[in-house]
Amino acid sequence: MQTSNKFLPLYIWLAVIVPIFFLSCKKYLEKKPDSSLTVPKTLDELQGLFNDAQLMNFQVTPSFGETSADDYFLPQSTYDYLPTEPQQQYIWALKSYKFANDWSAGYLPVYNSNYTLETLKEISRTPANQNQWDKVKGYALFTRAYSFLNLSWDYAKSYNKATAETDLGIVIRTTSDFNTPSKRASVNETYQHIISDAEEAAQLLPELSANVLLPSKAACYGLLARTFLSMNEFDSALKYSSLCLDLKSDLLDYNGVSLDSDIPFSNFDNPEVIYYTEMNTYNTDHYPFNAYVDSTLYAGYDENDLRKTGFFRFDNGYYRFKGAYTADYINLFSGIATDEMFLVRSECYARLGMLEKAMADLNTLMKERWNNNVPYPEINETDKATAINKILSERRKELLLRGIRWSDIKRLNILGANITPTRIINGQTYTLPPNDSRYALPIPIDIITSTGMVQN
Amino acid sequence: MASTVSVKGTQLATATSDDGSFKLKNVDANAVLEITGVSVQTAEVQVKGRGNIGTVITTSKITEDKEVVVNANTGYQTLKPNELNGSIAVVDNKTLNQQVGTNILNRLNGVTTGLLFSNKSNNNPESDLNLSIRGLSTINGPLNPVIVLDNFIYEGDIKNINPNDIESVSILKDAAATSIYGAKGGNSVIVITTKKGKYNQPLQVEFNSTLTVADKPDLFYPSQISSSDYIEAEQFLYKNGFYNDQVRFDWYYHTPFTPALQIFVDRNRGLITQQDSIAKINQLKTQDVRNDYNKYFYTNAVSQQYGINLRGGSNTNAYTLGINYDRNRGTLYDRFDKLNIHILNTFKPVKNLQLSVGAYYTNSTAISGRPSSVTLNGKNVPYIQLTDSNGNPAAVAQNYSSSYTDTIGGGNLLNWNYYPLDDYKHNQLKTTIEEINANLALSYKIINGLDLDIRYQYERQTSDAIRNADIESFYTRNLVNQFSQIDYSTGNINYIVPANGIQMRYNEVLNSQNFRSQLNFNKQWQKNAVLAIAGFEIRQITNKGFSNSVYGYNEDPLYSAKIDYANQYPTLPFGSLSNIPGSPNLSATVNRYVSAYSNASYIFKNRYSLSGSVRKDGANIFGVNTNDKWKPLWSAGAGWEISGENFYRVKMMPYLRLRASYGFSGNVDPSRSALPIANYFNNPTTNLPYTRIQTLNNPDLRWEQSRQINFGLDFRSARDVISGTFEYYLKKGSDLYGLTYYDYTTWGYASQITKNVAGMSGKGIDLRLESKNFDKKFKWITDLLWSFNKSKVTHYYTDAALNGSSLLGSSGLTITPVVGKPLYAIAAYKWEGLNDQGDPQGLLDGKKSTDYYAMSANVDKNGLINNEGVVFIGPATPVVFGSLINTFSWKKFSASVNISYKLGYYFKKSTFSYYNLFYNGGTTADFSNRWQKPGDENKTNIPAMVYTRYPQFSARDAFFAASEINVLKGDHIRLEYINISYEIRQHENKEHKPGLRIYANISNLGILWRANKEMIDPDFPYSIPAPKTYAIGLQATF
Repeated sequence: MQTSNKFLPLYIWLAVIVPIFFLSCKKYLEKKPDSSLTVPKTLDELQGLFNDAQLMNFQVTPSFGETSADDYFLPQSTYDYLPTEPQQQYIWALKSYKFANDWSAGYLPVYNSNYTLETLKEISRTPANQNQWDKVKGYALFTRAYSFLNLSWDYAKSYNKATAETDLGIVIRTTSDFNTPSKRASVNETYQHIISDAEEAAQLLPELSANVLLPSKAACYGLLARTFLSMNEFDSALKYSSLCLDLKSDLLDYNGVSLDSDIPFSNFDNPEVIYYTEMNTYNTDHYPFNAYVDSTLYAGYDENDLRKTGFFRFDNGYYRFKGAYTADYINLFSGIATDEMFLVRSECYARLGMLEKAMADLNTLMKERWNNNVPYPEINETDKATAINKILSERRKELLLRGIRWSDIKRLNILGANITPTRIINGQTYTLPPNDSRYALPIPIDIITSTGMVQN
Repeated sequence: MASTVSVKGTQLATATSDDGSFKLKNVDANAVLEITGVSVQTAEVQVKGRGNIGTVITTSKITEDKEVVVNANTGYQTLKPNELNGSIAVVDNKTLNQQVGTNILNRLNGVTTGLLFSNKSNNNPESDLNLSIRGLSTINGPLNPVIVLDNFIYEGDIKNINPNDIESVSILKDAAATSIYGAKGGNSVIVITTKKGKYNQPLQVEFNSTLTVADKPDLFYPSQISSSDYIEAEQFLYKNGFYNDQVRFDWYYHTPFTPALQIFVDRNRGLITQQDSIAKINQLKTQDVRNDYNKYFYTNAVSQQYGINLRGGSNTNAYTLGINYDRNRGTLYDRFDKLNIHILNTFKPVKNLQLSVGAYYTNSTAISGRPSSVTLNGKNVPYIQLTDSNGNPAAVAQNYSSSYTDTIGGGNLLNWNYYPLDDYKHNQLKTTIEEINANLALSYKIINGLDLDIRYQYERQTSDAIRNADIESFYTRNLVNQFSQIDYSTGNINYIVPANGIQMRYNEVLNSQNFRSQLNFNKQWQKNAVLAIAGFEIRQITNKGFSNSVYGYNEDPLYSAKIDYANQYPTLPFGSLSNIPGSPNLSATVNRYVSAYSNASYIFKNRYSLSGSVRKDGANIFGVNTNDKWKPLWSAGAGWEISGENFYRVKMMPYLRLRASYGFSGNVDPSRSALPIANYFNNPTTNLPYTRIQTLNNPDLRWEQSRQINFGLDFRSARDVISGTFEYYLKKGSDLYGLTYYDYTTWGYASQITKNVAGMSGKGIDLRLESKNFDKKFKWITDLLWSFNKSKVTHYYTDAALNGSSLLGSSGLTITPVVGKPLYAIAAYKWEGLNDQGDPQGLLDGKKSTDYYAMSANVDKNGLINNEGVVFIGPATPVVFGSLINTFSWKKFSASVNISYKLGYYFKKSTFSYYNLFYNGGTTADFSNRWQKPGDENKTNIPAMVYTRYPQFSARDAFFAASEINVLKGDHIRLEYINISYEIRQHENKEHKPGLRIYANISNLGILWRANKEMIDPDFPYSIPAPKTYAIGLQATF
């Protein structure tokens, strides 16, 4: 007992040391277990996530909406040859489908954004890295907002101020941890989140990016213009389309394009492209190898409108689309381009009563589409309603099969446009009346099962 | 260890205190004191009127170990049987020595319940021991139990540990025993305790030598198609044009011909006469390459083991020195030599302080031997000849036909032939393993009953594998030739790979460091006793690997050549661009664990005991959420010695103790990561580097959890005639790693990920009965070990796991999770015999069918349940297993016989396959029983031979292979070993009389009974059974 007193402090010492030791464990356990595993941690590696065009730009944006829209039709023979799911999609009857779809492709870029935003919290922003740091954060915010908007065009009801607080929107995922359950936000929350992400991204990104596969400030403004237009918020849509066009307003003169070619338009070096994405190929009814362009729509192009030759090719009695800004047969462009921005601004001017400005924007665009061997007939509508209709008609003709029509039908029907897509198959006519609940497309059944969310 | 001191012929007695001192009053001056104890030889001391008799040195009992109570070592504490509420089996030294193998784990085979060696395959390097204790607790996680050497988890190669250095092995089976290992203990724990010197023990020297010889393996055991049948099949294929492309485009493909094909082609081209062709073919038909293997490659394995062990100790010092040396020659003339040195020194420098320093050193060298078989360009051709007509080594075609290799390069290239009889001399792998396992321990008695233990272990194992392929070896010549650039105008060769030896090196360094600080509390008062420990631990295991190749290697004088790994060069014969193989490759892994644990038991009146343990682990492979949470693994147990109660009056059964435990342990796969794992590429469009995350981060990733409930009953009849242990347990694995569908809103990259979602359950019985049938001069003891174990998958979420289609055609060798079915299981197609075309038939829509695609699709779609086309056959691991050990002794002779049994399971035999026959060479001998003409379907089940363009050719083969006729009952009884020993002289330390024992052992004696009629050994359905071994040895103690 006498000797032990001498050593008793050792015991006390241990009692002190043990808790300290456990506090420092956290650091000790952060060591990466396998050195050959690469866990993206640096700014360069995070930036690399956004350079992955295969997942972030090519074949990513939703296509279910386009396949449900009315710019095309399927001949009976093609319909008969399709598998069950696309057949059901064609008549808005698909209720249940599984993985590899708009939902998975649409949320994949969101994961990269969330992971980046979480990891950025561990990288301090210093004078040396702030340029890159801001850019990477901007990429992440823009990508998330862009994906959310595309997803909400598919899966949420159109924005209706009166009911937006209670209408079901999409899942606003802001964490890369899959253990956090997914819940549907309201339409209002969905749009507010898109707007705040995009506005913050606009503060961080350079005016134009080095290549159109990466987001830029112009892309953010373009995204905001799209967002507000689909909410029928014309003031804000006007503001952002103007800001976007201030940064980039180049138009492609179709007179310089070899319109007879099978692939008339280029992709990344197309002067109109602000941000490049393609629609995914999970839904294919509307793809040019299946679909013919709606005959009435095709008939609406003037003979001197170069789009009539540049966008279509004749095939077996009808016309197929070939005008995508993707430089290939199969993929359809869904990114942001200046032609769309001119049309957004023109519509907003018209809606807000500034018809002259509206017409000026419309003419600026249309001139580039007109055969320059024939004098261009200036459009000059003075009646607001007629002007709007003219602009919307040109909008549809310019932006067909770009992933926009579905959202346009939805928002215009909120304003009372009474657009009713119609299909005739097996001698039977199917219609989708305005504001039908099917305008919010069904969410994949495996997502419903695993999350217990409310189905549309 | 306390002893009892009594005055002979009186009732006067007392117990010694912990340090061995004692006081006795009123002792007669002429009395004789008798000192007895459970672990000491009884000693007598004459008092001769002394008041203080001084120090009496007693000797530990070692020879009559049946009387010795073997304490269980958990790695954290040593427990006496009455302190145990969990399930711990102890295999003592004598039992370990009944078998003579050089691997300590193999010596556990057949001598303890619940432990089963298996022939299953598993890709996980953490499952290589191929043994399970009480069945499985995981589906996709590692299967190896934790191996503990003395106090710490042993990370090195188990072959390093020499059985001669081992005193005993404790097997911790239930959760109450293993939960102290926390997240690692789920597969049970095997604690290996080395021999150690004790205080106050005179020097004891043990010498041991064993010589073991094994039979040659029986190469004719696996069913193999005969040479004449094989040639018949080749002839059939040749006639049907199977080889047309190969023959016609030989000038381009250069794929080697088999000798028979060469004869057919030569005959067709008119190069040989019909008589020659027939004679040559007939000659080949008489060839069987297995005879050549037997003659040239295989031999009797020989193993020599020598060991010396010195132990002793004074008052303040105890020491151990063990030196062991093994020399082994394997069946293929491969060598394995090993040296072990074990040093341990424990001393008490000051009062209350004990210091111990020890090291275990291993140095082993393994040298590769001869090939086990030879293939012709990857084909198993049964009539390959290894010698030519003059008895010289013959060439066997490898990658390219000889017509190509003999002519290309116009004689300027190196000889491009492969000579199996010679090649192994020029291509040798030598693996050197060196390991040091060093320990430092400090134990300080703070106050009576409270000790502080601080331990540190450093382990380092370096493994150096060097393959030397000299210029004579086929490997080197082939590589040199492939990369040769021939200038056809001058005949000069530009060697991209230098025409000299190649040395390939693989180096691995394993480093583990363990630190533990633990308080031990041990107090008894009145009728109470408390035993408690609490401590914390840090462990780090690092693994570093390096491999590269040295070209132009020459040993003496030593030189090597520089080589261009970076650029690609055209290679012969196709000109495809290729890098020179063997560029340096590095790997490094680090695993870190931090743990805190505690364990306490309270014993009242020596009859009632309550115990509990708790442990929390953190690890760098767990997700942050897991490390942040306080979610410990725990256990609780209770014991009741009924026979100690007053009401207990069963004279037949003087000892009866009940125990129960409940607890949790974990299982960790160090290869998983909670972090997102990315790969880096270059984007061809933008030319920018990009990152792609390909494994999703899972901050909740954690250990698998295994819950076990255990009920135990220990009993001993009067005079110990029958004693034993009965245990019943229930296991439940939860949070097991498993594929599952998940909410891919997070990450649309995949619809399934691996996370902690799967579950399994198991139950079983372990029964051990020991019966002393005769206990006179002639002794006969029977040990019966009987284990029962059943398992099933309870949660798994992939389609195949839910409908069971993945079990179809399963060999039963891998875990195939199907909900509601055993982890290893077999299902098969219903067999409806052959039709009159010789096609196998199954059942589809209530009718006999030969639509193999439709039957396969039917299972994918409808699963196993209520599907008439398929049968679920049963488990592929024994449900009941164990052994019967009979030990006889008479005077100085003793003999034991171990018979093992495995019951209640199925296996799939090696199945006949036309696909294998046509594309890979050999298949089973069933070919001769095949359907050949209508009517044969009544006699045989072997389908007719059809040409590969036959519709559904491969589906037909797959259907046959997966049909129920190829699944056999696995039940069998095996004679494991017979051990005979003769004690020339019994060692008695007290009198310094040397002891000498000689022994003999015969193992792998073969199967006594099997359920299958086809004479297949169910433990070796696809490979050669372990041959019989014969050992003799001697053990001397002085």
